Amino acid sequence: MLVLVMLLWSPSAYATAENQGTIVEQRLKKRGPKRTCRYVMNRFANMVRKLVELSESRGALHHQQPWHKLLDASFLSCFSKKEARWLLGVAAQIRAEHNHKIGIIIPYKLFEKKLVDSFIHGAINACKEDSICVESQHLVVKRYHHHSRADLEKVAAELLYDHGVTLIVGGFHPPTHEFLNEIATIFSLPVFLMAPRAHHDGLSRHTFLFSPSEKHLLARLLSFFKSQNKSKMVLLEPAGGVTQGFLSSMIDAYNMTVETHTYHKSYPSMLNVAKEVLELHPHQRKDEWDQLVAQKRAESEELGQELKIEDVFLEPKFRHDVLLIADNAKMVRHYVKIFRYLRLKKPIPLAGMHLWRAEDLLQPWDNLLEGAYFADFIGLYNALPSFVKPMRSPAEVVLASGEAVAKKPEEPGDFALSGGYFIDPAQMASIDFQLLGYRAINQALSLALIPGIKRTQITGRLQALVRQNQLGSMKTLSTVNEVYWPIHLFKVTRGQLRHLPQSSSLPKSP
Amino acid sequence: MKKKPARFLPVLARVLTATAQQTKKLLPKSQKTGTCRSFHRSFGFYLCHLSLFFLVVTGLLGFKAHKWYAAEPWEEQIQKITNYQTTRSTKFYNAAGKLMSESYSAYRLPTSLEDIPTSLIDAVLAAEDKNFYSHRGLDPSAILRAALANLTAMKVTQGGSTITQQLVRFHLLSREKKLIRKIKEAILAYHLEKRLSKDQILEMYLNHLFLGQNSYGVASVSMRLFSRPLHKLRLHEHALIAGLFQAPSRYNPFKNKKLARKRQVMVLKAMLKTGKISKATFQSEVKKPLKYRFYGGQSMTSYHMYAVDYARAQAEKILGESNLRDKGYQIHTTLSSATTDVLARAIANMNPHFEKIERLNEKTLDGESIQAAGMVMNVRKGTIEAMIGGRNYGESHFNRSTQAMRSPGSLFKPIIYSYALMSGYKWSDTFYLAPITIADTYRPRSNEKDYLSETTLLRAFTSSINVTTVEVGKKLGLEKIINHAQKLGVRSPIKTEYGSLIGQSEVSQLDMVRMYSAFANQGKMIEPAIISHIIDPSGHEVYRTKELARRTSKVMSPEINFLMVKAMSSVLKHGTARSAAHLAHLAAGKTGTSNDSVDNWFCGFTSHYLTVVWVGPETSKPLHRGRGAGATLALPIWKETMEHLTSQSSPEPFTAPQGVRPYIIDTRYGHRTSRGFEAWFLAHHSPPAKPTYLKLINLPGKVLRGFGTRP
Repeated sequence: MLVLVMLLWSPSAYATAENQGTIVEQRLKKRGPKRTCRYVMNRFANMVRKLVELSESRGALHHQQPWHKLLDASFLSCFSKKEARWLLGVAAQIRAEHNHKIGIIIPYKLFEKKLVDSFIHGAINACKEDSICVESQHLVVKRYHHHSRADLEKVAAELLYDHGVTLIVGGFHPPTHEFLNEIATIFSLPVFLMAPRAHHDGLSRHTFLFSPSEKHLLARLLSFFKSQNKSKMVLLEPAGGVTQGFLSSMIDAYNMTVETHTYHKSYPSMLNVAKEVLELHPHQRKDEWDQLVAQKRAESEELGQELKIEDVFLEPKFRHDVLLIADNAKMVRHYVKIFRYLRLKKPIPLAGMHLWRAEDLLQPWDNLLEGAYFADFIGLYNALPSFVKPMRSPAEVVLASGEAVAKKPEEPGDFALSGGYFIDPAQMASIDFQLLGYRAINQALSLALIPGIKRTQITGRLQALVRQNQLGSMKTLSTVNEVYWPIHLFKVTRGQLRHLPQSSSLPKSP
Repeated sequence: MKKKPARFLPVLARVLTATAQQTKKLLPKSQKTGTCRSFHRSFGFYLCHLSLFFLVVTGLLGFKAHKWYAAEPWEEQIQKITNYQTTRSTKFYNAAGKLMSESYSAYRLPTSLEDIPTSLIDAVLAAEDKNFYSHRGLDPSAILRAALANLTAMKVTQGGSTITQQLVRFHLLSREKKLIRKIKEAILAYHLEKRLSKDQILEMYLNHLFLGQNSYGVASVSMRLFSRPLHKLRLHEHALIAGLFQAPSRYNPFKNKKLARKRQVMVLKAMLKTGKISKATFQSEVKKPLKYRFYGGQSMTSYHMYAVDYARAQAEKILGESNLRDKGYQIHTTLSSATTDVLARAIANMNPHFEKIERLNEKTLDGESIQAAGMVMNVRKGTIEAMIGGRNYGESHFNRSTQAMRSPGSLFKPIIYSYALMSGYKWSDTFYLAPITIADTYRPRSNEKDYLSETTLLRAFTSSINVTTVEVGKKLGLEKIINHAQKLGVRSPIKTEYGSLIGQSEVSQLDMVRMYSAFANQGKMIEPAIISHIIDPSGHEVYRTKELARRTSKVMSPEINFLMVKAMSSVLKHGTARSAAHLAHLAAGKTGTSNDSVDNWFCGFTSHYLTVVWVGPETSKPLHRGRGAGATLALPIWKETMEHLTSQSSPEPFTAPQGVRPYIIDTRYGHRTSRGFEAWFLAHHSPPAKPTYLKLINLPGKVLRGFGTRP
């Protein structure tokens, strides 16, 4: 294997930059390296190519160049103990070198292009707020095609080799998490992952989950229910949802009993679940059902009519303390209509999460929603930092004649409407990403710009904050490097939202 | 009146006593004693008594006859004959003035004597009363001849009545062969002859008398038997008609050709005998064949009769039932034969499909047929141009256009939606589609596939979504909607229940015509007219339907109406009536299907014509098989009819009033878009400029929030 690495380093082997990757792969095939090495080689081939390319552009390849050391590190698992010890030494050297820069690896398109711009807009504003940060010096933004692993590896190599970044913010797509996590492991490089993750297995100590997740919302809601002595909960969740998984790990801590119903987003499935929750299936209340059928039959006979069993209905019953619908406002409204169809007349205690936040939840008003609670990561929109603004021009007005009316100018104060409770739904994701960018970079800068700080020290500092359960303005959960965002509770009452005071929505540690 | 037979008896007793006493006084004294006895015994005595008896009896009879004569209302009866008004058929004409139908209790065609051919008059006189112009009502020679004939036959075979007597008998007396009737007849004939001229009597005779086949008078029987007027008949045919006077039923050629022929020959013989025709003429006429052709009294095909029946009912409302009958009125309708033919053809073209549905639903239909009915209204004139009340008038005269009460289904929905727009709703308003329960028991049915999605008011209307309609209707208020429906011309009682919102309350086709006329006429409901004017027998116009402006009533503003019209155009363009999309630029309409496809409707209109079509089983039996619906059963008929009518009339597209504006909107979420359907709004309304939260949730790949699990 060492021979292979030497061959790769040999200048004669790299006549051109284009065929380097091919040569590496061909040789790997000929020599039949260990399976694990081939695996690693395949995974990092693009990064190797890029590093070779970058090295060539700076002069002849030389084994004293840092990229060689980096390459060593990539093949740690392929080497013998002796070789590995030597390579680790080199890697340790490279780990210690950085330029106090924050690297942002972000795809060209995050669902929509404007969301990328939103994140960067937030990041830049975080830099502007910092007294030391100079955007052109301390922020390095690298974009890649999100479906291209090669692209991702190349930009990672550029950040490490060219810019010597202190910390990487990335991982907007879960498939990239593994790669970034490995980079973090190999180079002791702090990495902020910006997309939620279903599980935390195998995460490096240098990897921090910076994205808010339903887990936090759920924890907040559970603590709130507990404070209200509500201990029997029903969870309605669409198939494939993550809430159930989070919940199972929490119910004991909050001393809750939870009945879970999973549904598919289809009418029969939702109707069935709603009937189960309201105990309307005959088998759930057999005695009552038999009695009711007998009564209706007698009434029909009295009227000389045939009993239509489909016209016999039990009265709905809800015996739990709260019904959590872990879905969006639209599905909540459909559930409310289904409940009405099932003749539920009085509101039942409903609860939900951030996807409930929409004017459509309230308009047109249905009083079955009276008294419902939901949790969100954002409080009032008009209380956000001033730089947070819509990132999109309003849609042009198209008349039936095909004539397009002139676009209205952008209105920065849009989301101050409705008392700050709602904004244009098309702007919601954009605002979220601006805040994500702002908070991530704010936190990263606060450590990376400390004069003389080593890269390896940053993780320690972050972990210290984790242990103290304090990370800037945010809180973290203790078991993993997971950032805990402030959570706001809202109450639905009389067709309007009410933002509960932050004190009432402070989380309780489990 | 109770008879008083005993009154004259005391008088008679007194007369006889007085006579006896007077006779006793007149006799010589000797005679009063012994000599008198011989005298008593003499023949003279008996003769005297006998004479006295006869004198008394004759006096009595004379007295009684005088009393009878004095008691009889001769003058009144004569006047009854002279003032007799012959009945005349009521005639129905279409808008082009073509006779469509005649209505009568007796078929009469009054004709003056000058217009009656001489040969016919000769034939009648030869057969019935050859001395007509010479006697004074009674013909003694005829009576003698009849008496001899009766004696010979030992039964009454001949009457010997003159034409005058027959006329009297026809008008006043029974055909009973009694002496008293004959005496009355003779007296009245005598009086009539004194009052009228011979020609007048003959004209009455030829026009009044019953001649078989429900026809009275020679002109009508000429039409009935030969389908030709009198002046087009020839001598041998005149002879046949003349022969009918004696026994119209017996000699009716449609019942007994041989007897009729025999009688015709007899008449010709009589003419020969009286010298009216020569022997040669007789021989040639006798040989001529008689070609009969029955005339039913109407010139149009049977499917027109539904409209005629309705026009008759309307005329009866105008003139009164008793005034209309047999008075000879001319009812000029607004009906168009061409339009009716188009509609009839469109219905007939669906026959194979109807038969297929009948076969498929054989069990549930239980031998019943699928019926179809339609109506076409000229919106510009507010008149009914065509009305077909069933597939076969011969089989059933029941007019399903005006008499049947059926569930309109979704045809009723424009009432709710127009009222919703009047109450401030917009086409872009969004609703969640899920089943609903109202008043704990009522659960309107919608297609389950629609559930768990959202819809705009526009889509709910064009796709005819029941749950949204009921939901909107409930919010607006049932009573208010019923009131609005009544303003729109629904005269049938509407049940105060939520099912009425989706058309479960039965209505007539006329109700629907009135209702949709408002949409076709800028929000003003039209009271449709089928009669344009009525002319009385003397030729005077006694009725003319009101002009259009006076038959309309404003129900909604032209702006709201236009929003509805354009939405109904969308029904054709994108909705349940897509198969008629090629007419959407000119027309608007709505499908209607009641539960189990019992009633299947389509009602649509252009700026010129409004057509409503209903198809369904005769009674409310379900059509479970064959995909029965307004769009599959009624729409094809509407489409064919309107394709033809639009090609003929070139209607203009509906023009937008001031104060409305079009937008392209997303039909599920209502926001403005460049790839949606056209919807019109009042100027002060507009659809949301941006996609709603609901829309964003449904966009593939769209992330709604930057936090948490990605959708």
